[in-house]
Amino acid sequence: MQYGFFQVLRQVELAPEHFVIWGRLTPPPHQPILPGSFLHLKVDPPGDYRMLWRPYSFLDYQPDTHQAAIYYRVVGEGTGQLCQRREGELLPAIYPLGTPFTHEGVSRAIMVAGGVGVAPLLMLYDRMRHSSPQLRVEFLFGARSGRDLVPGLLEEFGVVARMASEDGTLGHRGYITDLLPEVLEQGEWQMVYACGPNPMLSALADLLPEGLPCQVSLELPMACAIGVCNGCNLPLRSDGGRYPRRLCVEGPVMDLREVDFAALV
Amino acid sequence: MGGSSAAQTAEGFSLEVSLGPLRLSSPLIGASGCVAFGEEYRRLYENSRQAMEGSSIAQLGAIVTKAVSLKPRGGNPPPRVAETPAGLLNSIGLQNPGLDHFLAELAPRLSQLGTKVIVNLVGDTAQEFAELASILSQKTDFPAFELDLSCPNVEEGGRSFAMSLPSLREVISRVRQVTDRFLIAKLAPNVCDIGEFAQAAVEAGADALTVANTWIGMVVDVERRTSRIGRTTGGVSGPAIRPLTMALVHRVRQAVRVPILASGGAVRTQDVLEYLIVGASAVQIGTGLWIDPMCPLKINRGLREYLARHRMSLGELIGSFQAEVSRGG
Repeated sequence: MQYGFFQVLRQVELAPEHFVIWGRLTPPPHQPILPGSFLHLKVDPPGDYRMLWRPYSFLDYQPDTHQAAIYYRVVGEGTGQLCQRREGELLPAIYPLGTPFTHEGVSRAIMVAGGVGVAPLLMLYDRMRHSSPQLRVEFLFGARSGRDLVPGLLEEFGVVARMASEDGTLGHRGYITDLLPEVLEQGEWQMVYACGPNPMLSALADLLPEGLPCQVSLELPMACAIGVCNGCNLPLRSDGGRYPRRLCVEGPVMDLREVDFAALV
Repeated sequence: MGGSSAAQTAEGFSLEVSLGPLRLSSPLIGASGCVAFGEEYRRLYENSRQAMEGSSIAQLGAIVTKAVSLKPRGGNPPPRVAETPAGLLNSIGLQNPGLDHFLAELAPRLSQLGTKVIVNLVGDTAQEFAELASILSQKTDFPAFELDLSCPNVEEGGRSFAMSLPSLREVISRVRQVTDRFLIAKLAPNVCDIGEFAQAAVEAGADALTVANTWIGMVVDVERRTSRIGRTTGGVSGPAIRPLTMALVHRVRQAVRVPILASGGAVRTQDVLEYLIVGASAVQIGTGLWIDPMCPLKINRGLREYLARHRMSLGELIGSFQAEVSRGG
């Protein structure tokens, strides 16, 4: 991890409320930027010293130009600030952070994305495609409404996904996890990767067969993002209520079956 | 470039300040719970010199460790933090790996940290505080302890030591009996008159006071009609509480003569100047590190510029508050 700047290059509005912000990491990161890792970003204007920073997963990273992309939906104060940042602005940042996904030796995987949780999975898909020519991925993408299943984003990564929306405006009407049993039957899967709201991940934990491993990227409110504050410690089944694991350091990618979703609310 | 020695200043204005046996290169101190045991910020600052010249843990004159208790503590259930306007509500629950782990693993590394270290102690009983202080005095040479008397998160008969004069006195005097280390009592802000508590702490043997801890607060999630944090109430920190804590520092300065470590929402040079002028000898930086991780470096620069502009020393600045405002005309 290092302190530097996310120099804003452009904001792309994919759909109302849905943005991809591109920026150059300056100075270039000392460590590789891997799928599932994140950066911590000051989102309010320079000179304002009131807001905490915000953690965002990487959607994309170009190692040759040090350009990084973040996909976000404007939902609150932080993203409301972020969408106002303009080309040329230098946003203080800490990068890269967290423990990323692992995909060595994985060539047959299911990816389950909920809402903006699609971002790290798209980056993972992209990296896996380049490292494994035999790759077979079944990509499932769900959201509350069809408006949130931003199609341009998937096309950019060459992903064709099965989709579900809770209001039925696009794809299957219902939860994305409804589509999982059928997909599970269609192949010899080695790994499931998932990122999305906790209820989705919790449902996933109930649906997956025992022998099939699953890496999930989780979210919790965070303050420092570098492992000092213990604000994002996770309830894990094996930890007996002691919460030693920090989402920002030992996560955000965790073994799905370790997570105690009942305690996560 | 190595030489980040705080003494080499552009204008030659020193930021050195003494707290008992601690000679600090800067009045800025990393607050307990906000810097863990120093390792993460040491690494972050070391890795960030390309972006920020002079970046170093030594920009903090000292750090106060995360609270150390006799036995390990797992802390509170999530969610543990929630942002508030210009602030942060937290309920971590004094999670820490306990004294044995501290002695075996953390203490040896802390001596290599690159800045001074104050150990924060917490216990459920006065006896536990004394036991901790006694063992740490025998087995380590950390020159100063901060007693976390005021943390509002851990229930002990419903309230913290720092909210009752008798229990405040008891803890401090019990600890005083077993150690000659520099003792800093960290006071709670949520009391009627903090001046009384400051006096009681000094009479019981405190060498200095941290003023203050987080303010008790609460945020409600109106959709779910629950608290936004797991433990219903927590402690509020950050710029939101700064004017409140400023008044406490002012009050304590009038009540006692021992050094004050101000702690509450400092992020910018201006904030630290205010605390120093009101009478703090040092200013702890906590949540400020999460609003601007590079704030210690920027504040130190700003302090030197201020001292140069006003042609005064840090010692002259501390406590230079003019109670009577001359409005002219």
